[in-house]
Amino acid sequence: MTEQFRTTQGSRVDRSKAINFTFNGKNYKGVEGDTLASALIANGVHLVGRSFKTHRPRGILTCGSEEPNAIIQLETGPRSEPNLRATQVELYEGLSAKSVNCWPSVNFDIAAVNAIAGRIFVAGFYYKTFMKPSSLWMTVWEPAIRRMAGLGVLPREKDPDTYDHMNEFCEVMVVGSGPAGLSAALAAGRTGARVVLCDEHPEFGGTLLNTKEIIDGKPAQEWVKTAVAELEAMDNVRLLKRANAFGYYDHNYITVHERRTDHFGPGAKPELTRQRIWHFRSKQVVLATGSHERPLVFADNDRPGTMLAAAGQTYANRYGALPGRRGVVFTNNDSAYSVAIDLVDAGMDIPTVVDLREVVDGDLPNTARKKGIEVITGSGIVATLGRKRVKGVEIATVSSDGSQVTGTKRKIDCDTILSSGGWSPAVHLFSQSIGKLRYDEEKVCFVPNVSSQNERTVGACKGSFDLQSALDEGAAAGAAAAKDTGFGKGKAPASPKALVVEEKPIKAYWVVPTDHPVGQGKRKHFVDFQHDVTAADIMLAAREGMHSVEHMKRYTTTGMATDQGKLSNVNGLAILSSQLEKAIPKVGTTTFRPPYTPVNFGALAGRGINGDLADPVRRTPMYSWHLENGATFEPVGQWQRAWYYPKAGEDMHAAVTRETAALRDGVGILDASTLGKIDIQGKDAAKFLNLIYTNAWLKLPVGMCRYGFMLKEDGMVFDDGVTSRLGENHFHMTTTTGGAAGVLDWLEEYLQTEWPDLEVYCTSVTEEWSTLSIGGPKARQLLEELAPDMDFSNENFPFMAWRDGVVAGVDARVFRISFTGDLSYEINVRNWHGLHLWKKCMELGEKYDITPYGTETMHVLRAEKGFVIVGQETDGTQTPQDLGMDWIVAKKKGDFVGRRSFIREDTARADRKQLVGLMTDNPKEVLTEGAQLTYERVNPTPAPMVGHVTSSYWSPNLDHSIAMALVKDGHNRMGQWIYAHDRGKVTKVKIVSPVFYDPKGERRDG
Amino acid sequence: MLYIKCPFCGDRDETEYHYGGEAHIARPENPDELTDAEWAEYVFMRTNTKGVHRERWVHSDGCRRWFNVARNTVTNEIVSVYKTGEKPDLPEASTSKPAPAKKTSAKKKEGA
Amino acid sequence: MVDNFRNSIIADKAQAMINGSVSGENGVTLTEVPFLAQVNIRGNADDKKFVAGVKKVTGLKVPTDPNTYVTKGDLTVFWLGPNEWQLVGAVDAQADLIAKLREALDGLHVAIIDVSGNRTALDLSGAQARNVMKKSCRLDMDPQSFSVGQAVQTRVEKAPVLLQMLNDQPTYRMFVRPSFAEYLVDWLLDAMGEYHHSS
Repeated sequence: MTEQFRTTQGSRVDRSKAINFTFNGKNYKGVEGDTLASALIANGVHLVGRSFKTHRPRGILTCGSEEPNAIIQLETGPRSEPNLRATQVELYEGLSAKSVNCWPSVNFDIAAVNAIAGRIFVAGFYYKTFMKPSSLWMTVWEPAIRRMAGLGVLPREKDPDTYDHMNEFCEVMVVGSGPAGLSAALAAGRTGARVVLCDEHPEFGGTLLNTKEIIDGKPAQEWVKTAVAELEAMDNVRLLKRANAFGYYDHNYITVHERRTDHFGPGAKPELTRQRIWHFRSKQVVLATGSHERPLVFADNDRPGTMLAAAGQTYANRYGALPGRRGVVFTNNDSAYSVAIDLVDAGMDIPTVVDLREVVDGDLPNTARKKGIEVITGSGIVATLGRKRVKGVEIATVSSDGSQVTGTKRKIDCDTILSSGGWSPAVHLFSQSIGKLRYDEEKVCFVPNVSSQNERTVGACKGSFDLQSALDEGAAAGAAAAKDTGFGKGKAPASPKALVVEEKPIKAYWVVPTDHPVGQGKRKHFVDFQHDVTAADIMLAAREGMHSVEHMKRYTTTGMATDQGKLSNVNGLAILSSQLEKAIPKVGTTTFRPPYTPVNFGALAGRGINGDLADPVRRTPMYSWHLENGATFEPVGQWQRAWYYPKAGEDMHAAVTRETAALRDGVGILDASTLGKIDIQGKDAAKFLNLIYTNAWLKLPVGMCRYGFMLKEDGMVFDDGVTSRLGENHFHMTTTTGGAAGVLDWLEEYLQTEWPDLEVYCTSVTEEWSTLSIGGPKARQLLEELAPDMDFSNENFPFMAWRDGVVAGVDARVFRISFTGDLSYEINVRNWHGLHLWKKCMELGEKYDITPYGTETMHVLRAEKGFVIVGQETDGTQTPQDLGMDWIVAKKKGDFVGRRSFIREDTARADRKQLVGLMTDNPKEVLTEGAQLTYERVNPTPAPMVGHVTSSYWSPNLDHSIAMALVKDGHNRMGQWIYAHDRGKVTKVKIVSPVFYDPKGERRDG
Repeated sequence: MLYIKCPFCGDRDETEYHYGGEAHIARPENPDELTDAEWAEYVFMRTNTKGVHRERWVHSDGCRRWFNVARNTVTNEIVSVYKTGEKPDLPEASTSKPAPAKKTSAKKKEGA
Repeated sequence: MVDNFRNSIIADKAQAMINGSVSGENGVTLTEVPFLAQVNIRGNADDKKFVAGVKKVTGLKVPTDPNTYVTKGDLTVFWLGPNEWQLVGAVDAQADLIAKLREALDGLHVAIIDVSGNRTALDLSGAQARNVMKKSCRLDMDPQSFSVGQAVQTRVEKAPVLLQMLNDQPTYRMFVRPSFAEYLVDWLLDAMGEYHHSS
């Protein structure tokens, strides 16, 4: 195919460099500098997609990120990417793309029958139609809608590309590189401040690249070139192109999505990360994001060949691609006349400009008239002809209020319609920054009003649509922003002089009438092209009571497609406002939220894309041994803990059975390094512990340990652990693995805010120590071999004592504490000695058949003893009394955190949910953790739930399943039978003591 | 993502901090002397301010100090950051909803 | 005395760090500096006896400017908070330092805690080191904001670290908890990957 719509001279593409590409299976040629959209237009291809609901043929409407129609799937295989806008995809050799929203092809679309049945696709259609019967939703409606309205396909393969994130700080961030943005960056850059200028396009210059404006007597592109060269020469300025600022968050935090290699083609530059998210913190921000042209809302305004006026101008001027042979311009403002003029100059036939205004006498219209273009005033396009391409328009005079066609229709043949309904400042980032908007009646658009952050808007983004204002405002804002950060004196450099042609006022005109009232007859007035929302839909929504703009938006889905309503929001709002007969400012606007344009998940994931770097995996010093010896692992927060150590042929059940037996009959070894450890010292340390634990600490002798509960002020258990007295004023506290950081913050909060007079220092030493627990009847024999110089006799090293010594040749602190009920020692050594000690234990323990065990066996053993795990038996709503541990609450020591709450009416209730043991009738049946409990087998619905199973295991030592549960009034119901429910299965269980094994504690001394 | 100036370490991202709820709620010195309602006022009741809210943060990943932030809950603008034990007047403090007038009978410490 | 029982938790990463390092003028290297003596000191900087006691042992005045450190010979004292410092010295120096500090500060409200095992150290060095840090840390890494003489407790990606600007090469020294060390090494090596191609 030849590029029959390519002009022969002018523009910014390089006609000498041909690029081959494929679209919907057909081969085409474009040139260097093209986007996919401009190359298609150069080849006369306008039909690029089908509409979302009714599958009407759709053409390229815009030339930028606001494009609602030309949504494509780029490439196939693992690098395939759905839902890109053809207007932003830069052409590269071999590019292959297809339309997303048509099946089986764009020219023959089966679902186009929807268009014939189009009357049923009205506002709220999904809510009204597919909800009932609900059983059909997942099986019938949802998959069918997905295929018909599918927005591209995600690749199933692993993404072969890499992505990264970069954090940067600057004084002044400028978003947008049109005249205002370039001026701002120059003014700020010259002060020496760190400046960032980013733009979503592959070239800097913004609209100056699209138009024929004159600056300082020369084409504006020359000024752009000079300005960019000056910026590039500044070390303090960072220039980012192909970089879309998509989020403006609190405290001038701006995220930018940079496409680094996409324009080379997939996989072409493997040495670079494909895309990058920049995280900027900027002291000051200048938003020069420009504006979007609004389409006029007229009958069948979606025929391929219908385009926004300025987009047509851009395709001709910048890309050398004519939108068609013969076009009609339709407008309510002066800006479209420069389009008509440029297109005529580029070689297109523009016979007519249809203007909704009664009086049209501006400089631009008059210039157009001089070029022989007919200007028809007080008129509109009331119908369009053609299906897959515009064939002509019918125009007529229309009433000034938009209510009706007043004159007779006249037909004009054309293949292109260029429409301009005015301009909407691109206030998305401003709005994201929580800036407040104001409706400007004269300019017929929302403009920034009150800033919420350290930010300035300039140029078209502020509603200043003329070039000189953009240049002046940019320079002033750049200088002022730099000054606010301590750079420069704030004086704006003299800005260059633009050739300004004065424009006459725009006329607000929201819906152009046709033969029938809007919503009747077959003609459709599209407002949101991507979601197929028409003016009639919005009017219906208003009639059905959707008076809030937020309700209208969700009911009709206006502005909820991937283009986020960049073209449709203001038109939709204005139509709602006229329906409600309320002024636009009274109706209000919806909120713009990030991202400004869609961002790849890969880019958002960054280096974490493959999962292994997404979150830290914390390992103990013995991790490598566990790994080499076949352990399976269990994540506990960020930690990876050994779960169990299956031998060949063993499943988890067999491994745990073997491990538990070793602990009760021989000796086992556990890696307990993850426990939180806090060093507490100072003359008030014991007093402090007395305040934050429920039990008494003042009289704990040096050399001894004690188990304690911490409560929050509401009286509920929050953490537990064993704390040892190392010296008169020195303690070693342990916390749960998951609670370590939270407990330290909490201790510091009380010390720093409530009791600053207490002389206590708390310091985390969690990882100073690695911890091994050696348990079982043979533990003492092993310890005696490991540490021949230490005395492990019951008399000299009793239960709940600690001793310093040398174990396996290294300094160690040994605690005689037990979480299994059997004789047990916890050995703490320096982190870097952990692996050595573990290996030495395995070596010396071989003759006792020492058995490494993991968290599962630990859980079974502690459950046999009825020991609670905070976070498993508790969920922040249990007092110590609820857990049957009244003994841990000191009665006479006075105040401690949470104590006062014990006598609150609710906390003191006798029938609270309390911790009990459960035994199943069938000893082999293991209850499901989380199973709900009821007093009766059969219950009225809703059944009164009286608690749930918190822990449940098979106990090899008892040859019986065991469970713990929280049961309402449980302590008073010992021996009673209740019922556990698991997805329809009902199990009869008996309430028993949670201490299943060795209730007298006879085994702890070995 | 907020950017909070720790009074000790300077400006840091929100991820380095933990939130500690409303500030200047001192723990009663003699909880036993309080009625259930008074104790509940201390433990559970908070002002839920729309406007400038004084709140506690801790610089967990940094100096581990607790401090106070006065933050506008509508805009997230941080009006003031100050150390524990201080309570500066705030220019915009008038926009915040006053704390409930009801006070416990127990003596409360100043400015904790 | 050589401690033969000692293992770095990332000993098995040594080869990966060599392979992942990029030599040359435009390069970046990553190495572990294990087993440094580290002592956490708590005390009151307004108390002249405390300041004098630390100075007597270390020759250094505890820094009171946030985010700074001072160095003399093998010894460095980091500011960690208004009443918290970290003393770092040569391998195996901790026992002697702790004994001398406890003696010099006897009777004061202080805490002198051996934390030599609580963190290991990684050095990221070379022309691209700053860019690697920018990929990993949400602090302003530009020289005007973070320079030699400064150290901060912060996060490098999701690992809490004490981050020291050691020299102008630049070299960043990260004191990281052992449990996070492998993750941090993997993260940094991945972030360094890009510079294999550009050097």
